[in-house]
Amino acid sequence: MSQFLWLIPGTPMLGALIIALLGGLLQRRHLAIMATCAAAIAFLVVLLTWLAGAATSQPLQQTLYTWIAVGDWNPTIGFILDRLALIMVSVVSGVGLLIHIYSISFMAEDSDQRRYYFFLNLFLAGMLILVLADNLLLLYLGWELVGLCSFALIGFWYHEPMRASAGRKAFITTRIGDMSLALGIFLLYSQFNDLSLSYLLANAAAQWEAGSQLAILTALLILGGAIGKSAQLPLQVWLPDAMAGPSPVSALIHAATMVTAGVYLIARTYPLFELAPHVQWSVAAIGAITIIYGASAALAQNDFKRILAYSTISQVGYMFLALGCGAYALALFHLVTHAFFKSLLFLAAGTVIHSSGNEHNIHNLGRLGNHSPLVRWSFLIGAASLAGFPLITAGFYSKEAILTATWSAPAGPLLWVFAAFGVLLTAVYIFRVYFLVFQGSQSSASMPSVSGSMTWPLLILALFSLIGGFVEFPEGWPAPHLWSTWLEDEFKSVVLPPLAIAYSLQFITSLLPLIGIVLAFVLVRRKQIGHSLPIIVFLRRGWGFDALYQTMLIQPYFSLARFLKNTDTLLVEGTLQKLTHACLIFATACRSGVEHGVLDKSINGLLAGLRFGYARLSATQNGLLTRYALMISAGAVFLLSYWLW
Amino acid sequence: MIPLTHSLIIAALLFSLGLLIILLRRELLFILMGLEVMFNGAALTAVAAGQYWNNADGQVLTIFLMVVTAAELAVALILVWLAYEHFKVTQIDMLTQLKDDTRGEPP
Amino acid sequence: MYWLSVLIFLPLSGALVVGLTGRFSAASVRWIALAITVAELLIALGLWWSASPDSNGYLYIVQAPWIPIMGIQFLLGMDGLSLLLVLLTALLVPIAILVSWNSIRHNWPTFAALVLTTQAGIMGVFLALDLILFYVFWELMLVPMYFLIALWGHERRLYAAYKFFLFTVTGSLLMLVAILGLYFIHGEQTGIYTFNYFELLHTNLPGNTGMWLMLGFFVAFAVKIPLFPIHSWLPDAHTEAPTAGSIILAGLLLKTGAYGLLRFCLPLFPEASVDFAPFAMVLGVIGILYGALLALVQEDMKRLIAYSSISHLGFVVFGIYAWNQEGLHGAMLLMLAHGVTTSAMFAIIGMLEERVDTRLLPCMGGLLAPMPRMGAMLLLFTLSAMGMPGLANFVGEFLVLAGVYQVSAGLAIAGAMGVVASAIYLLWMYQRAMLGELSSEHAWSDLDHREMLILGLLAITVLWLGLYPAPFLNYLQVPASVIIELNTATLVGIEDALRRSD
Repeated sequence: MSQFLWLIPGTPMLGALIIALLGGLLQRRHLAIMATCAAAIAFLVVLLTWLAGAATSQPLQQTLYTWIAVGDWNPTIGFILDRLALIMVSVVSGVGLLIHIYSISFMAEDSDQRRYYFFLNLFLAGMLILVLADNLLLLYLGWELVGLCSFALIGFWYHEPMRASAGRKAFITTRIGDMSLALGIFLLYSQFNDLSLSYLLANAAAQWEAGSQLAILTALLILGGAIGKSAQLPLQVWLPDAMAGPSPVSALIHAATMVTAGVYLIARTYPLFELAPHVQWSVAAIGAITIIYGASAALAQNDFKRILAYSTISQVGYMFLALGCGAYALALFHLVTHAFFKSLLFLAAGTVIHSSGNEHNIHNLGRLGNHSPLVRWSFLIGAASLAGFPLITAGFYSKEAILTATWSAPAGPLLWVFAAFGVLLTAVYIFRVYFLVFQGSQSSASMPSVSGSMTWPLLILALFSLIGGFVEFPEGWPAPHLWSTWLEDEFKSVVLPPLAIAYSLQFITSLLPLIGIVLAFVLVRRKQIGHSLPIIVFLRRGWGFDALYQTMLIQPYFSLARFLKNTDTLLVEGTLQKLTHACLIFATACRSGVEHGVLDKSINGLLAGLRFGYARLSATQNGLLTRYALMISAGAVFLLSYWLW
Repeated sequence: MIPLTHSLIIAALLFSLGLLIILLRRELLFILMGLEVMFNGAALTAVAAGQYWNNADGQVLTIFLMVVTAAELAVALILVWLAYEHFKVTQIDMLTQLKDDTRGEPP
Repeated sequence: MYWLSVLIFLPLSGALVVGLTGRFSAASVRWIALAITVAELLIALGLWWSASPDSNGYLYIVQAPWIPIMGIQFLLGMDGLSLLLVLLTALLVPIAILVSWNSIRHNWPTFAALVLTTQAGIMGVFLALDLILFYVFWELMLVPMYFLIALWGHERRLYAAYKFFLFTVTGSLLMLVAILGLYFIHGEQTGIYTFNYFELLHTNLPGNTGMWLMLGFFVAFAVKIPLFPIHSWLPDAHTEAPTAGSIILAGLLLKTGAYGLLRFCLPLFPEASVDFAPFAMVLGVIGILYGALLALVQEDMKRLIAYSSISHLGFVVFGIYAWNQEGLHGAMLLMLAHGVTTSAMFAIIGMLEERVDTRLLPCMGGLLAPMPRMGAMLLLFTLSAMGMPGLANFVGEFLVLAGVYQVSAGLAIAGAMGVVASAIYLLWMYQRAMLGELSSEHAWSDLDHREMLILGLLAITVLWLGLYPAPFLNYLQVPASVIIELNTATLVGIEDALRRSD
């Protein structure tokens, strides 16, 4: 099976290439089908690896070729498929396929489908490379590739400068995180002279002591990369703006897959984090604060998709919390369920927005009213799963597991309080949306039908949002723990609180969503009250991070650049000008002083002397023969007399 | 036997006479004649010296000198005639074509 | 292998025939120039094909006496580094000719002759191993370049050409002085007066002399690279030059500076260079950040790319003076990558200017819609320039930073910030040019076949360098390890000296 591993990222890549090179020859519709086929083949290969027993066997490996060869360091283009990668690959290719199918109708009207499907396929390839990479360099390639596709797809409708800027903002913000990751890679490379993941992790654990400086530094740098990609505090500012892209893109890239790359990265390099307990705890802390941040900001938004974006920030916070508490398997569990319900929510939201003429404001959407029951029900399922509605939704199981595991971490109860408060807020904000949009008005105008290729993804995702959680039941329940047993070899198992505490925690966690839903209902009833309270405005602006960065970083950066541009003229050009000027003055002085004063005068004097002598001598040259004769004879007499003397 | 001193004095007188003619007279023909007188002075010296040393070289030189003088005189007379033809002068002072007439200015 | 001489004299004689006979029409001159440069490319490819990468040291050598009484030889040699740079030259000059196909409107014969002469000069610089010969070629490439800028440039071309000439000539005169100094010192020591590079390698330079001579070379090369305080000619020259001139300037002339550092500065004066390395690296990092910052606020696209060149060449200097496997490999590879990427950018800007009639970013916007192919190509090269993995610049920049990190983590962090900054200014440029609202309803034509050929060739090279640089890196193994041995030898020498003094 392992010799077909390259097909998983290879087919979407090939699809992208064909679209790029030959896309001009294909019709719009065929482009969509081609891209979908590429995604489908990738998904099929993943399914085949499941069938071939990848879930139970040793990791599959394939090395394609040596990428760079410098000295004795030879990073390769090579893939590894272990259980962690298998989860990610399944989610990415599965959700990716569904989103491709959804896009067929969603983007049918758009005139620039070639670009859309090129980047969508390229994204899929990049994401699959990221999760399959067997060394950090290749992982970094995938990492940047998905960032690029995210940039291009956020700014897909580039005619509006706002959307193009949002793409750029996303790229640059994540690039700051990427820089941190790259520095981490440099550090690891300078220590171990190799970037192969298995080698690094084994050797780091063997060579570094827990809590050593290098381990802390490496973990921090990698965490920086993860934070950027996963939109955690303080690099979360790009994600809400990223909603400028088409809804399927938001569902795929900014909810299900790319933003969870940070989670994957930390889970992949978890031995490094184990070596730096403080950093690991700060992962949890960042997660906890981000949960509150995202949930509270979502509460105050009016833009449908921005709510979901803040919700994503908040939910990825749960995954970080789990990672920080050492519950890697549970973080991945939440990653999977979140991928289902969040892309379901995005697709439902996309359908609503699409059919209502691109209206994003939830109040207006509620007034418009006519939403098809399919969308309404699927959104309800997604919302319930997101809120963690007890027992019947996948979100409940994954979130509950994380909360229970949090309790026994260092400063666990504090983190738990944050997370639990997040659960409450989550239920409030998402059901606020639900009530506002779907219950707001009861007008029963003609229901727009949802076309086939949009229906199936909704149905499938809704199904998984409900049943996806049944692989891991809460601690202490008489039901299987398939998930954590399956991942036991990959990660160490989690320390869980005693059963009594666990039960009470579970009780509270089940109660909180219900309270939240009631609160949301009340809130919507008293709608518009406190609409412009300062706190609401503060929350709506995402705690003012954008403004802060604008004044603290972006403006100073630009003014520094402008300042340098001006000083460049002043400094470099000015110095040059001065230098030239000085040279000119010196040259002038030389001309008047040396040239005119000394050299010219001496030459002139010499000339005058010569001229004088010439004038005297030329008098003898008078043409009078007798004078010449006289001279000759005088000369002869003189010589003779001299000789005779 | 005439002593050498006498002939040399005569020769010197002849030479000086010729030179004086050249220096003092202005007519071209007279200058030519002065030249001949000077030649004669020189020839006389050669003959006298030959006799004194009992050597024929002096006479040989004198004969050679006379021949050359004759030839030279022929050329010179033609030149004088040509000068008269071209410039209508017989006076040497008028013939200053070779003088440096850009006095005081470098060429 | 006389093919090395052919590489130099083919374009030179072509230039003489085309420029002096004046028998050809503009149309045929273009084809002749193209044929000559393509022949060069084929010869270069042939040399690449027949060279075996594992052979030690120099792949080809040509040696003939020139002025024996002064110890000057006609000595050409090609090692892996020269080979790759010759390939780059042979690739970019035909592209420069193709780019000028329609945009140069007057006096094609002279233009072609000047381009070909420049090519001969650059080839000579990359091949010459006799210092006087090197100096001759160094100046030979300068003069036609001056005329290319001054005759076919844009508005302020005379000023730019003058500045370019003045800066480079000053530098190269210092180099000439240093060459002569080295010549006499070597002659006094050994009794052999020669300019032969291999002989001079073993010169024993006492005390400060080495440092002064090294600085003479360094300044000449630093002007060409250009390094921070003496970069000011570059934005002007790049901006005012015609597109072909910009391609040759950015793609090739800047590389001669870095090549000089690698070929002459480091091997001839290892001790002095080791002492000087920290300063050079600081200059490099200043260049990286300074160029990136200034590029952000430029409105002229060509000027923006010019400043980005300063930033990228800062990485090259960075890598060279990091002086280890990764740094040197990265620097050499980045030279190639930058040559291809930046040339492509300048070519695209030239094509844009032919259509839109401006280079000013505020006057553009939304051009992706009428020109999707050009937009896609510009995106590809923009991404390469900002170090997207899988494209050319990434491998070089990554290796450079990995190498620098082993020397100094702080400098590596500063350099990595330069990578982020490059994303900022390049994306901002791309957005202002291609995205946003279309300002006018003019009907613009997309790239035609000739332009697709140019950019397609460069795009393939960029992808090749990014995805499978191993064939290129193979050739760099030997040159890099030669330079590294110098460093270790120097360090060992210093240690020995210390031990002896103990």
